[in-house]
Amino acid sequence: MSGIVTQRAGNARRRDTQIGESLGVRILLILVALAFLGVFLVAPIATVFVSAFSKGVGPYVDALTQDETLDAIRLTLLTAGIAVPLNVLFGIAAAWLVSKYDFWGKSVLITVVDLPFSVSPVISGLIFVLLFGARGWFGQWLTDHDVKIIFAVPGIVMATTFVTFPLVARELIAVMQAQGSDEEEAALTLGASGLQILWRITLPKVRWGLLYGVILCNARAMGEFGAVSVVSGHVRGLTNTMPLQVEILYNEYNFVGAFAVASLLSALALVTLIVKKAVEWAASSRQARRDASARALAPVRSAVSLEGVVQ
Amino acid sequence: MTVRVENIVKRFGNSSDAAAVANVSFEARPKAITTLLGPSGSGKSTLLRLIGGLETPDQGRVFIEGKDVTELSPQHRNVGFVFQSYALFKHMSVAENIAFGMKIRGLPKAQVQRRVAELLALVQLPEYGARFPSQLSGGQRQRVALARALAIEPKVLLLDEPFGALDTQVRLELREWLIGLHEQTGITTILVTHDQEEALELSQHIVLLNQGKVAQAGSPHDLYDHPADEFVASFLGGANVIKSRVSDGEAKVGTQSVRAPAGAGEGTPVQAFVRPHNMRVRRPNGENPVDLGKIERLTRVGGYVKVYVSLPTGESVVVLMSKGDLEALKVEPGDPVAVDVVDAKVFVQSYSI
Repeated sequence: MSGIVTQRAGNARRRDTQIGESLGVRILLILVALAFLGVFLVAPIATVFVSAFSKGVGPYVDALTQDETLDAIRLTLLTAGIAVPLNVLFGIAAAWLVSKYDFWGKSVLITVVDLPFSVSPVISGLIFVLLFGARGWFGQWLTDHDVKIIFAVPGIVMATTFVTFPLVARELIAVMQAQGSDEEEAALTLGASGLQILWRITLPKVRWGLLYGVILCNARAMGEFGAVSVVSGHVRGLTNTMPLQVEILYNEYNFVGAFAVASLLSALALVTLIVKKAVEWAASSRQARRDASARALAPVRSAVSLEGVVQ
Repeated sequence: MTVRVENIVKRFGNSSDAAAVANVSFEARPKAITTLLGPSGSGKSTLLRLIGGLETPDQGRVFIEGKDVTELSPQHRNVGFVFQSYALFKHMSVAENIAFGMKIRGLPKAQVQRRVAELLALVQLPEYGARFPSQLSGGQRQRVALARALAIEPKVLLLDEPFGALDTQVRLELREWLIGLHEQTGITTILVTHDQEEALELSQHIVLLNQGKVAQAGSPHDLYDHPADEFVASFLGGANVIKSRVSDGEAKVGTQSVRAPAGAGEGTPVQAFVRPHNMRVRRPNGENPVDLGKIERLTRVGGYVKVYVSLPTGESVVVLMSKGDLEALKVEPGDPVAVDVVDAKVFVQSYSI
């Protein structure tokens, strides 16, 4: 066995040198890639943190604990806290519909799900202004009933939900379509109802995909600028989210303040990527562990198997 | 516990497309294994899914134990369904898989535990309860799927190409095992397969389907020995096809003459279906050399020899002979031989071919 492994490793090495470029070209390519990464990814993120802390930790903390900034953080959390659960519900419903049923207009539905990604965020915001704004379709009715949507929190939540809608749905549609419906059909013949199938079979099957979608959805919901900017009206302390607050502070030449809030958003992005990576790693290592134990495991005693039955 | 389907029609896609199942009626006898046999695209799997409720028929009715279940959801039909792909719940252990249907029914824990242990023993995997499906071989997975289907004490067991994804060795073992399991449980079973050998060996009753219609239904013996038409004869058991014409109420097949089908007039083109083991090769015995065949090739298959003979009409046939019989003849490829037909089924040749 070990002989085979070494031989294969040897082959791989030889193949490497066969298709590889000369040393000079390789170094050049690596340098170009590193320079690109440095200029377009590392430098901007580093700038954010450097500028935020340019006057030390004290001013940084002060900038973050300003009332308006705290309000912006609170509003951002609220918005994400409403938009993400809504999109989880919509996403599961849409993915379930698309992957488990065949119906007329299905491809249209899939396209519509992607729509928020294909239009400019500014348009996404404008849609809601045209619908609910003072001169919009429902504007008069809303004014009559004293309901404020545009330039208020509901509008921000709506625009954010719209823009982030595809993230969970797309992720789940891909996973569900790849997995097929065999297990669901089996559960159906075993007497499970639709809800039981969703809860006990489908959701556990897609849980990694779902978590992945939620992480991305959350990141986008907190960071959305364009659509939110159109509907928010920039009312300080009331309708400013973190990205809008960054813009306002920056325009007021409050660089430490602007970059302090920006550093929070960047940190959120970094944490998101790390969590995402961790989720992927957890999903794949779980599978690997199972495969490994399948090879190593001698038949487990039946006593153990019985304990596993009802939990 | 009979299963009866009456005039079932199922179409997929446009109404102009050919029906996947076109007006099929049959009955699966209680406590027997009934096989839905047919080539791919014959509608056999669709028919099984219609019985299980996973598809809805466009027309026709499905009865289980005399009760019309056509409108009933699979959730309430109480049928055990086993899929070719096993369809085990990957995130559950083997024991949890088997317990699923019973938990859904709200059976008490102790009872579920006891039943899972019984079923694991029944499918000969008593020590595998804590494993996950990904840790089992294909054959083991399919046995777990069977245990899971049996756990709900179904009225009928529906098996959709259950051994289709397994290699030959495992398939043969599981076939034997399924016969034993069926004897133990006595549950009415409907099996879908495209493997005629599997059908002949496993079932008491075969429904042979072709292009969404029943070609012939009956016991394996009936279908094999008394095929209703050309399709049945050629699909089941493999047969040599020899073309001929009726003359004096007889059709000449090889070096023999066989009685022509009733009503076939003089000169009617006919086809004879002859099973390889229903032919014999022998040394010429004063026949007109024009009527003799020639040995093309000899292939040894275990204790038997396949003798490929070209007939004077230009057709090639395969004759299956025991090794001893052939050696006694002392023939070689290229030798002229006479071909005797022990038994043949002669059909009037359909003009569609």
